[in-house]
Amino acid sequence: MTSQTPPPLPVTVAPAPARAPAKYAVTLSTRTSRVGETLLLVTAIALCLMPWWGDRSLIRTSTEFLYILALAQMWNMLAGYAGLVSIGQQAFVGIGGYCLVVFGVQMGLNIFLVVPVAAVVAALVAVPSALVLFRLRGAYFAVGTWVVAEVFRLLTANASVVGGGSGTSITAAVQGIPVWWRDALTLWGAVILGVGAIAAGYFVLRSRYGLALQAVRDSEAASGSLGIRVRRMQWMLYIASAAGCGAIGAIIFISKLRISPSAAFSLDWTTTVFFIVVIGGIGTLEGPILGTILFFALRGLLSDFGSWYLILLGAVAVIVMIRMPDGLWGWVLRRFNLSLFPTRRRLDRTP
Amino acid sequence: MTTLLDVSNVHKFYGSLHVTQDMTFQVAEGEALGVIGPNGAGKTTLFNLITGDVRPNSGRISFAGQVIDRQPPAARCVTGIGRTYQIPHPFTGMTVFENILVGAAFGNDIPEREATGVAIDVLERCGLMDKANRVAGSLTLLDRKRLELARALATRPRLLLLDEIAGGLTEQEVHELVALVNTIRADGVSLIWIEHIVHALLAVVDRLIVVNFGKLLRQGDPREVMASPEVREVYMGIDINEPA
Repeated sequence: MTSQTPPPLPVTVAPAPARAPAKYAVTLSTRTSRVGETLLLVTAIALCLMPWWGDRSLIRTSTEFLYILALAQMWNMLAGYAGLVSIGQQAFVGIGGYCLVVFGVQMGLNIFLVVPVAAVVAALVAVPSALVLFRLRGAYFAVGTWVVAEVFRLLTANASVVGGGSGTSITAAVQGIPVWWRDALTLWGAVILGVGAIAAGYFVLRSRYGLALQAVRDSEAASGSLGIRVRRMQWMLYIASAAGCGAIGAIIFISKLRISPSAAFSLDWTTTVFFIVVIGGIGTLEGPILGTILFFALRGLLSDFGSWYLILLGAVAVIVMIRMPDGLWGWVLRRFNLSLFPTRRRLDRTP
Repeated sequence: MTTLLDVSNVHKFYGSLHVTQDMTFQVAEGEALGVIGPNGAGKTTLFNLITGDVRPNSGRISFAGQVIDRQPPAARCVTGIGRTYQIPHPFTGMTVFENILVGAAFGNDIPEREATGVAIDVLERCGLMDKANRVAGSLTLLDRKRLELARALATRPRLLLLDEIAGGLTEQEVHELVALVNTIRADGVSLIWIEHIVHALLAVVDRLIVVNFGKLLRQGDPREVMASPEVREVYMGIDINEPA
């Protein structure tokens, strides 16, 4: 796809004055960044210790919160930074889930070891998918990702070895693992994915590579003309996101213990995170966190309203999109110039 | 003088629209070439073909002795082709300094530390130092145009493509811009400049080409070209000292 770089030319560049840049200093950390880092660490530790202080329903809700948050970060990485709007990430969630059936139930691998395996399998499947999908642009790409997900759903529904259209139980793979351990390990897996996605995103965005990510987010054309290999970056992010979704899919169905093609490859996995990321603030690390909190709060509040729940959720989405087009966190960012995980490089004259 | 850019027999079709027809011209090392022509003549397409945003249907484009027409834009930038867009494309969520840092780091393929030094030089040179920490999305049109040029300069190009950078500026601003472009030339950078403001162009370029309906109509000494009957006809008698 991308052609080879030619050997470097003997470039006679315009002589850059060899003035020492000591007159200026670049700073990345601020007080709020240390607050954000501390907050993230404390939250991660508190969550990891939850099996000793929380009850079972809190553990289960936290697990769900974390895997939805992780899924939102994966989608944000694609749509928010790489400019690849996918409505087919459920393909990799489903593949991750079905890895539990193949490697856990049928081959007898410890079900928690299937999680990293699921990431690898999803990444491998992403390569041929990308070969096809990367020929498409914009809305066509989005529709294409959905078609790919549907193909996997139909293939799975017709594979009787993994239970066919009615699905199968995963309970056999967790027998012998005490319930306390099962809940704790599932939670820890979700913590690694949810908090890990934020920490990894934060780390990458502050690196040299992060400059390229933010540049592509803001303008693909200008990024290419300034030397950024946009296509290669999109490939890497697509595969990384698939791997993430695969691992998340495995965690999701370990906590559910029953899988079917319509649940595993459900469009809901993508529409939920679409809602979360767009409402929270696309192209920021904080946005998906805020969006996930809002989503869980609304779901809790509106759960008694039956089908009105979805109508109200849609209404909230429409209002936020009209009033705050860059999401809640985008509004906070503009209004208060506040950032929990700042990635901005400040240039200041040194005395 | 050695040839830096060699465009030969390049054709580009958009469907049945023949936007670039058998385009052939060269740019020598250190030369400044001006491009004029009516709107829709295919001037920006010419830039897109040189930078790799658009692939030619046939023909060949060489830069510094290497055929580049299959290379992606990023590779062409690293080998020394810089460009500005007619409508500035700033990275709106990043600061002015970060915008320039992107060009310095990726356009030269160097580590961020080293790129910081390059970016600081460019900020000073283009008069953007006092706005270094401003978010690019909050800049005025003039500053967006300055940033567009600064970012391209940070890639340390051997050939710089300028697409209507003087459009929409006041007379005084055009004057400052011409001065800046002339300092870039003085560093030995080759230029191709598309511009409707002819007097700004004539203050800089060595040679002029006229493009109309995708074809190269005439090339040569700027003043001779401007006085030629073809140009008079294309521009319907527009005075050469009047901003178009």
